Amino acid sequence: MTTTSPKRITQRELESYLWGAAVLLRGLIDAGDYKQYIFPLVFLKRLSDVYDEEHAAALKVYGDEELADLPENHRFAIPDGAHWADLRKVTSNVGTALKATMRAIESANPDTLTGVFGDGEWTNKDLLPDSTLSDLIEHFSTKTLSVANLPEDELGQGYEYLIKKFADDSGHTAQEFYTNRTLVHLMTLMLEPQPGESVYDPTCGTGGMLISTAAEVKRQGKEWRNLRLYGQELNYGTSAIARMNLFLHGVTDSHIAHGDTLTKPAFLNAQGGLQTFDVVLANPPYSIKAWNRDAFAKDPYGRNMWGLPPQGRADYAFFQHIAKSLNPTTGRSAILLPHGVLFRRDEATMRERLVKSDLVECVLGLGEGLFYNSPMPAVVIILRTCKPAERQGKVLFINALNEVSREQGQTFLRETHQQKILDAYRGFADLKQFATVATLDEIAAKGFSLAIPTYVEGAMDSGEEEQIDLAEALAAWRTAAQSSDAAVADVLSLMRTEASA
Amino acid sequence: MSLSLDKTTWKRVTLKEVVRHVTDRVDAETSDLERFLAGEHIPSGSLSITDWGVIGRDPIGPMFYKRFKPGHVLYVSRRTYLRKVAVPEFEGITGEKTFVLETLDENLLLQEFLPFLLSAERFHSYAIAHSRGSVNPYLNWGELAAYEFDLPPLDEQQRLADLLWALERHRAELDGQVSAIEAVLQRFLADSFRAAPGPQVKIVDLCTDVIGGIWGSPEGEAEVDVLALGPRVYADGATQLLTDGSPVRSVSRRQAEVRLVRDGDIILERSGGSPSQPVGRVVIAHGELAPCIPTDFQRLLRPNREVVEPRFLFWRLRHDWVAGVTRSYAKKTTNITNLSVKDYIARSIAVPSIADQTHLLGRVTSFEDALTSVAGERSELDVFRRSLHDEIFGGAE
Repeated sequence: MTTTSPKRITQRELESYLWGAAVLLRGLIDAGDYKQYIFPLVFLKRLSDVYDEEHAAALKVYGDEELADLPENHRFAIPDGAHWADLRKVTSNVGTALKATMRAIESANPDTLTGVFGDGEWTNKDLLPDSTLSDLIEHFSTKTLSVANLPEDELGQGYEYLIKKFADDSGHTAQEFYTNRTLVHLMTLMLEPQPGESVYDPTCGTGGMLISTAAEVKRQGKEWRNLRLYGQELNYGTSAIARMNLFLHGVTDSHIAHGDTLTKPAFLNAQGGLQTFDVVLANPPYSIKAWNRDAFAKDPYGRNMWGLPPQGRADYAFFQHIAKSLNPTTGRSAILLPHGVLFRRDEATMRERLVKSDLVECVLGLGEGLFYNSPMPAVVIILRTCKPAERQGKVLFINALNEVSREQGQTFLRETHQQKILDAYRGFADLKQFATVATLDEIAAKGFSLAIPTYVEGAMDSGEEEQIDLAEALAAWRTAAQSSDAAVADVLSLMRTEASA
Repeated sequence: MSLSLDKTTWKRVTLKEVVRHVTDRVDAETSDLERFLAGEHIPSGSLSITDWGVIGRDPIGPMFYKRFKPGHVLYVSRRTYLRKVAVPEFEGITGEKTFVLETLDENLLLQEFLPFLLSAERFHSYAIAHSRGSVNPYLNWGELAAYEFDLPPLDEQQRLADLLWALERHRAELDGQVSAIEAVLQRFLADSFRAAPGPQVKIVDLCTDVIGGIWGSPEGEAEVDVLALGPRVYADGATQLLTDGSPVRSVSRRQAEVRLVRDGDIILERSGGSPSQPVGRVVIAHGELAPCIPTDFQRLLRPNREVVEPRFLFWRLRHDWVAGVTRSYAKKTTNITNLSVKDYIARSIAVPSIADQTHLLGRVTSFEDALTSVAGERSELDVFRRSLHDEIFGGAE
């Protein structure tokens, strides 16, 4: 039982506390894997400390240890021997003890915490010798992570900080789990999630977009606790972090599934069809090549209504999945995609059907650098199942290429940028060199291309599609080059250790 | 990104106004040249030459009398759809169907810019459209000489050639990197398998099932439609099973039941191979697959996970194939080599504990990641290169 007196932890203290753990792991495991080990440990520590806090509060009321341990006084259970204090006593085979502790807590809370600790290789002593684990446990023992010291939001933000920090540290996997927060904020403002609605992210990474939605509803002073949040994530470790992240942010009604959204969508309705949602936010992995196209050709959920995407890029597979996941009356979505989806030739048929479906409400072109470590310009496409009458048969094109700021290598949208874009979107009218409303007939006349320069005057120095294509190809190569450099460096360092072993 | 191309300064020319067809005849036997280039030595879609024939050692046809020098541009005029354009770094002899090209005047056209003019999709589509003959279509010099295109001014040629050559060099570097990583991986596996502690177990005893493949009937004729895995699954040194492009065949429910490939299954090539490539290649199934079955010339090995990690057995078999072990179990009957699977899997190999296998596989994963990401970079680079070419020269017209 922790007896440290309560002490408010500042954001800066929290950050150095979290980063300090990463420093202990440096050189032992790949930076890309830090999160798999640090997050579960912080989470475990948090659970123990909050449990103690709840226990102390109940003890004040009842004056009885046994009564204070009754389940109704706790939001979750910590079985005997699975407390942080028990862990601190272990000196050998620490990894085994850790794993057992995590499993015991998961089993004791089947509805809320199953699988939440992920599948890190805790027992692999080559990776994590006892001494390192003990150092980590002692490091985390230096602070008491009670709610009084550290409200949910703040620990959640600490997680966000770490996620971002790891994104900076191991750039090659960043985009997988981190989307620029200022952009997510804008997407949320455009979709206006309401209390009680369901929100879904089919490729949710660490859950940042879902948390951003809850935060926005909360910021507007509305009831946010009854939002129903759903997410699916392919990477098991990342999905576990998403679940902890949501739990730490105090979101109680959240469902994070692990698995491949394209081959096995996790959320189905009673008839076995796709569950539909009020709000969908997504930043699908960019143009992935390794996906099961054969299965998609015979998709039992009918997500190939516009056609079968090329093997070389699954963008339109995610796109169609999202369109199918929208509630037919209330559904709207914001999807962050590469510019190519607007004009690439091999996707022309699917694009034509997308336009004809009249789901597209807005095509928003953004500046470069909003993806981590990639200069690629991004586009956000807003879909809406029931457009207001005056927007039916029309699409709004916004050219916000210049609405970004860059400082110290970071690109972000300032509040003024967000406001300008939001006003244009809500106004849904022509604005010189910034926004244009086009009818479906006008789009058909342009061969169903959605390339922004085709509609918005002065949107680019030249209206050539290839230019964007070229930039996109360059960005993709740059990203691939970074990963290959990192991967080759990994092998070389591995061989060095082998050779010296 | 923008190339800031100002095409208004480019001038429309025909190829013969700026390019010379070099006809420098030599006799292969009496010349003191060492190397010759036949069609198969010249790659498609890449400018660098890494393979050649040796005069006096390899058979050379009577029509080989054209001498080329380093920096010349070679264009294979037969089967133009193969898009074979390359720049040798050595001198040698090539056949009469390969054009040896050089600039007429360096003040009009830079020699180093020429290969890119002829690598542009716009040129290839012209060449394909103007080829004669149906079985073995070829482009004659007259048609090639009449090709019209826009030529940038000299300084622009220099700028573009520098950029494009830098990309070519980087592509070659990446290919070298892949070979180097593969070589280290093989070395590492050889050492690991040699030093592996653990009992010797027959490969067949490490599998719960060893099942022959079938070809089945045409689609829709039997009870279940499945994908039938062809030899393409081994293409390009693949390690993981991909079902892309496999034909749909139809088999009975019973036939499908045992043969449907599952996660961890190894598909062994039983017949195939060529003089330069032994039979016995393997791929391993990973994750969820479309329903597929092995065909006649394959065997499905299903590792027993209690004693062996499927990937451990896979890497062992792949390593044995690379090391040439399968050759001793291969019989050549007709033109096709067959592997005596029964004898091949009656061999014993050292099987370390699962923990040791897992440890080794962790190491192998790092290699695989490196190979995948370098290959990934290579393919993104190719996409970029293509779009750059289209941007500069225009795509197919």
